Amino acid sequence: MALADIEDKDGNRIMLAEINVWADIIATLMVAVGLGFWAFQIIGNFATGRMKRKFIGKQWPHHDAIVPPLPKIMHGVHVTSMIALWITGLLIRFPVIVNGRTPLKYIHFVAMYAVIIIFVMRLQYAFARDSKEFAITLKDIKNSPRVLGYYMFLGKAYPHLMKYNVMQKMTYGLLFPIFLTVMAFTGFGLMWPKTVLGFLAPLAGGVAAAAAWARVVHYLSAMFLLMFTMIHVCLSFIEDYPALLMFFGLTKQEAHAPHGHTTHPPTTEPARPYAN
Amino acid sequence: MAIQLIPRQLNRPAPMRTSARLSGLVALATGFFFCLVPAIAQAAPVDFTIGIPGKTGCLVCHGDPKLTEVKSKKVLYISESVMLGSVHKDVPCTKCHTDFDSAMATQSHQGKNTDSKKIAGLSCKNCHEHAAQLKVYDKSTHGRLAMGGDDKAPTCADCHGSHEIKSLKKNKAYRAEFRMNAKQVCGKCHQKYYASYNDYYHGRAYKTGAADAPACWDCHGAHEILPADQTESKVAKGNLAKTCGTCHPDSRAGFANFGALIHGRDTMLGKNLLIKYKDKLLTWFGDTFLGSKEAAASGKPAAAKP
Ligand code: HEC
Ligand code: HEC
Ligand code: HEC
Ligand code: HEC
Ligand code: HEC
Ligand code: HEC
Ligand code: HEC
Ligand code: HEM
Ligand code: HEM
Repeated sequence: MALADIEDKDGNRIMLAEINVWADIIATLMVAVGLGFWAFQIIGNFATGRMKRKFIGKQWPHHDAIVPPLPKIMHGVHVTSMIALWITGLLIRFPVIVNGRTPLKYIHFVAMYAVIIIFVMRLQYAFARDSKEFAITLKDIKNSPRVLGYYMFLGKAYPHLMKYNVMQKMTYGLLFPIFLTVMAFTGFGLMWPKTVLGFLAPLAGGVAAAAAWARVVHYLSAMFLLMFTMIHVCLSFIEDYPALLMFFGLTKQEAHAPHGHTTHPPTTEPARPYAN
Repeated sequence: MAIQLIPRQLNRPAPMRTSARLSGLVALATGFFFCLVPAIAQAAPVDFTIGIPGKTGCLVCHGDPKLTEVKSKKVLYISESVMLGSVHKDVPCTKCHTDFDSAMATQSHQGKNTDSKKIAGLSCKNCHEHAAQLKVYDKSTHGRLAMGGDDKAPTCADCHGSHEIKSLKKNKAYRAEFRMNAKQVCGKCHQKYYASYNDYYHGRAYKTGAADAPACWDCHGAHEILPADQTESKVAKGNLAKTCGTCHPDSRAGFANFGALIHGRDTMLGKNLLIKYKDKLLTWFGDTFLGSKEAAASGKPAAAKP
């Protein structure tokens, strides 16, 4: 039975239509969660005094190595294009600009090629240079409750293992790549439904239906990524503001003497010197 | 004797200049129409010819921008340049205003009550060029009602206009303009459905001018419009897949269930469980966690439209 032929209890086939309405509600909730996370972090950081220690006491995390320029540049281009994709994509779904669809699509397509190229380049760079930094190890998994506890203001510091913690590794190494792949697939599906989604037609009940489902997935993935990026931005801002500035090339990274893993076992390092 | 100059002048192929020369007289005729012209016309009938292009006679009076009905202030001026630019430039006035004959041009038709909307508006049926449209229109809801004399149903002219009609097939700019004009063409009578035509890719996009978004008639048809519960209707359940298929490749019955959203987005949002119960939820939340009903009432959440 094709997806689109599923009937509700009254025998009406309005599932696809209803799901689009639900998609809007879920998207709104996801944005709300993203905003809520900001509120939670700001309140928590003030309440626990972390904010003061970080922004006034200047107790920021130490960095083992200078971040090379290439990932920074790639990230910068990527972020710019992603923002363009969100704006144009949302304006395509909720049009407000007079006769905006055609130019918006044009911008969406330029930005989307930029994102795909950067994504492939970053993957290549990761495999050549820094994939280790994103690998999730057993230690990471064991460490994860403490990391989570730290972000929820339940615990103090957590042992520093590598450049990124588990949450970061999951976000950078799994969520972002997976969702970008989904976005690219469904996005191309919307551009060339027959070619890209043809093989799904029997399941969905025709190419048109497959495109309609692809649209729902594309939209929800975009909003899910938006939620995660809001969290990502919030943490990079609050946890390591100097690194954020440096990461966007606004300040120069100070050379910091290598410390840590060569001089003491990682489990004993106080990752966050300002641990509350 | 001046009046006898009129016929010869009127038969000239460029009636525009004729009326210019006659402007003095026409102004006079307009000003004193109700007392003067009838008297002159009846006393000395002039041999107007309503020849090809056929406007000459009628435009002696109707070509004057100031020709206005005194009581109702209705402007009776017919712009000649607009008529000449229309697809019907070779159609004599009386072919549409069938209740006016050539003789009328020579006389006043003061007090003649004509319902231009009904008579001229349906006159299109008299010409074999329009037989094709008439055939489907006759069977449509609109046609049946209008032919039966229902004032609320659209005659051909309600959708197409009257003197300014241009070719939809050949004139691309006019067709594009017409396509974007559904608010006028259908919306003036179907306000509710125009307003509810509000889904993502079709209605909203259409209203912000997206040329690839469907106009009402891409789904409903132009002349063959029927209610959705009639099997021949283009938006009947059984035909919807084919109708949507004009734009969506391989559209099948299951896909057509999106049709419910085309006019139904707002209603569906309203019926959605979460939104329906959001007030109850909030009250419950307020009672349970904040311990007050006021807190819940003031904390109205944003509606689910990002
Ligand atoms: C002698 C001047 C004159 C000529 C010639 C003339 N008209 Fe008129 N027409 C008028 C005036 C004045 C009225 C308004 C009459 C009234 O309100 O009683 C009028 C009213 C009308 C109306 C009705 C408008 C309305 O909705 O109230 C139509 C239609 C019309 N004319 C068409 C024609 C056509 C077609 C011709 C040519 C066959 C023509 N007229 C020739 C002066 C003229
Ligand atoms: C293609 C058919 C057609 C032709 C040709 C035509 N008319 Fe009309 N005319 C109409 C229709 C339809 C209406 C009614 C419009 C309405 O009610 O909105 C109308 C309305 C009018 C009116 C009433 C005023 C108004 O705007 O409602 C006058 C006066 C008039 N026509 C005069 C003329 C004259 C004079 C000519 C020739 C120069 C002419 N018409 C040629 C179709 C035609
Ligand atoms: C409910 C509104 C409506 C009515 C009533 C209506 N039309 Fe149309 N007509 C349209 C639309 C919409 C189109 C299509 C425009 C397009 O395809 O872009 C159209 C197209 C046409 C065309 C262009 C050729 C074609 O068939 O596409 C002609 C000629 C035409 N109509 C004549 C008529 C005649 C004659 C009548 C009366 C018997 C009539 N129309 C009644 C809305 C209407
Ligand atoms: C005297 C006969 C006649 C009458 C009456 C008439 N038309 Fe026409 N109509 C024509 C002719 C002739 C053409 C030009 C056809 C062509 O160029 O292919 C035409 C063309 C059109 C077109 C453009 C078709 C296209 O896309 O090329 C439309 C729309 C139209 N008429 C609507 C109407 C409407 C609405 C009425 C009634 C208010 C009407 N006509 C009354 C003869 C008439
Ligand atoms: C002059 C007013 C008028 C215009 C213009 C008009 N309609 Fe209608 N339409 C009506 C009336 C009256 C009915 C019959 C309603 C009824 O029977 O309850 C109707 C019926 C319908 C129906 C069938 C629904 C039903 O309840 O029977 C549809 C669909 C429809 N119109 C679509 C359109 C579209 C699309 C256009 C523009 C191309 C249009 N109409 C233009 C007056 C109009
Ligand atoms: C993308 C296709 C589509 C477009 C465009 C569209 N409609 Fe509809 N319309 C439908 C479908 C499907 C239905 C039947 C289901 C429903 O009532 O929601 C419908 C129902 C209607 C009905 C009620 C018919 C009945 O039998 O009760 C009217 C009236 C109507 N539409 C008018 C319009 C008008 C006016 C426009 C332009 C502003 C328009 N529609 C544009 C698809 C469309
Ligand atoms: C005049 C052409 C046209 C008609 C007719 C039409 N649509 Fe669409 N539809 C579009 C356009 C354009 C889009 C936006 C696609 C885009 O932006 O890439 C769209 C998008 C959609 C989408 C979103 C998913 C997708 O494929 O991109 C759905 C679902 C949809 N239409 C359903 C329908 C249904 C159901 C009908 C019939 C009731 C219908 N459409 C009739 C032009 C049309
Ligand atoms: C990576 C490859 C991508 C491709 C090929 C792609 C392509 C498309 C296409 C074709 C559309 C439909 C536009 C239309 O024709 O009307 C669309 C819509 C959209 N895109 Fe993308 N896109 C991509 C990535 C993204 C990304 C990364 C985001 C956001 C993070 C995004 C957000 C959106 C949104 C929000 C919409 C509107 C969805 C809707 O209408 O429901 N896209 N995209
Ligand atoms: C749009 C989606 C985004 C994605 C997919 C994304 C992805 C990533 C990834 C994969 C990394 C790991 C480092 C690297 O790739 O070199 C990273 C790091 C970083 N991102 Fe993003 N990012 C996004 C948006 C943003 C935005 C909008 C900001 C800030 C406003 C931001 C700030 C940072 C910072 C500061 C780092 C460095 C973190 C650190 O080194 O600890 N990112 N991002």
